[in-house]
Amino acid sequence: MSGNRVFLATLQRDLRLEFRTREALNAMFFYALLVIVIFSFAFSAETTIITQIGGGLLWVAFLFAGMVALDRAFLREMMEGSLTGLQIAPASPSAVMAGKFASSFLLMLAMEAVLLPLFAVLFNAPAKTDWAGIVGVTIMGTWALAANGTYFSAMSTHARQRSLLLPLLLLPVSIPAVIAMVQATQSYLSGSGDTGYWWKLLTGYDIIFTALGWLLADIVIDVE
Amino acid sequence: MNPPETASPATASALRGPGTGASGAAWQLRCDKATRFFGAFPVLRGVTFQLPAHRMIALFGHNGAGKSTLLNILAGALKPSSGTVLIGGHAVRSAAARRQTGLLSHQSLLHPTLTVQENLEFFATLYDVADRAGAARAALARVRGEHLANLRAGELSQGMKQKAALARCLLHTPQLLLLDEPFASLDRATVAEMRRCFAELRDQGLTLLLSTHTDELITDLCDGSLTMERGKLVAAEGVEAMLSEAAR
Repeated sequence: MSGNRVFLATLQRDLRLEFRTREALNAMFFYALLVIVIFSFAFSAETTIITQIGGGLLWVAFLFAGMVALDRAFLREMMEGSLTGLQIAPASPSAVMAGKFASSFLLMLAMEAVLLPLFAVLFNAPAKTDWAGIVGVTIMGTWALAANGTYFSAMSTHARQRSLLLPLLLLPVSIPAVIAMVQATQSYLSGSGDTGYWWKLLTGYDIIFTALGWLLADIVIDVE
Repeated sequence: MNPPETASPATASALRGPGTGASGAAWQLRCDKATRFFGAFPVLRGVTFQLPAHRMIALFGHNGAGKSTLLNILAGALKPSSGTVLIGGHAVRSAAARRQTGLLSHQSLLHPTLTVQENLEFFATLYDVADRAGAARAALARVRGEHLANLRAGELSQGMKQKAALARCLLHTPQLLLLDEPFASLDRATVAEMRRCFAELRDQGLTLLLSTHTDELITDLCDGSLTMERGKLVAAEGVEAMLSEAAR
């Protein structure tokens, strides 16, 4: 029960911090908006374009914007040494990490909920698009990025080049998930519907990396 | 006149004698050959001492003597490279040891965007305190800081921040309080208030280890002292006598 309380308290605290400062939300939203708008200028709004490269465009925006939220997850703990407060407390590191993961996950989903409809309008999404499938892949893909990103964000907290280190650690490890997200999204946009393999890959990836993050939480929280 | 840099033998002798605090039965903290390296550099070199329970002990030493590193190891924030540390009979960094320990460090550990009450309630959850709001209010009352509850930690003056940080340390009713340069950057009135607070806590049965590089502010406050130089413990004043007395 104590673990649940720590999880909820960490989630509530991180969301409260974010809604007071809006640092990650604003940066994420405007970054993703900029990427989508620039791509919409670069490519004409023909249906064939979106069915060929739409998945990649969407996930470029979500992936790099999401990294802002992931970077902030532990950066805010460096203020007034509040990370030390987490380290010396007897609370379960896994519960703290789970709270931080959940807050990053929800923030990224909030950004994606606003930008997905905008993407559909700007790129003139075809009528045959399976939006329920895209929403499902977005949730699963965001889960994968948030699970890995929270872990690597904690690991790179003390590094001098932390903003460089996070993408260097996160992106290579995320390649299988990114391939699955892009391919599944592409299939839903083109209406081909053959997404079974990508769903299996994404689900397996989410399970494995969520479990790893849970099991190794005490190591990264205690990084000196 | 500038205060002396470290405790002189004369002033160390002026420390409060044994038996002035609450009656102690045993040691609260045992540190055996604790060593800590940062890279290849040894910051602590085989530090060995015991801290009698229910006493306030000063930890003297120049800047860079290893005081903060030692306190961070005792609090569980750093791992010792070698050696053994027991807090109330529990291995340091174990959950039981963490529950018995409070650390007042150079930083408040309070998030500046949250109010003091919100910060304290969060820490109360981390320490599995049942009534979080009540514990936060009680801790603030112990340091006479009730008026700070609804202020954001980032808006506090240095003195207010130190009080709020002390309240954070007391939330989970620890047995051992580690105070790292607690009077740094405080005005005289706040120093007097903090001194009174520390004395009350000692009289309530807490064990306090208070680090400083000047002895001016604490010689009349502490029951004994430890002195560090270049990562080694070079002197212990009054501590053995207190341990012997407690053993009897």
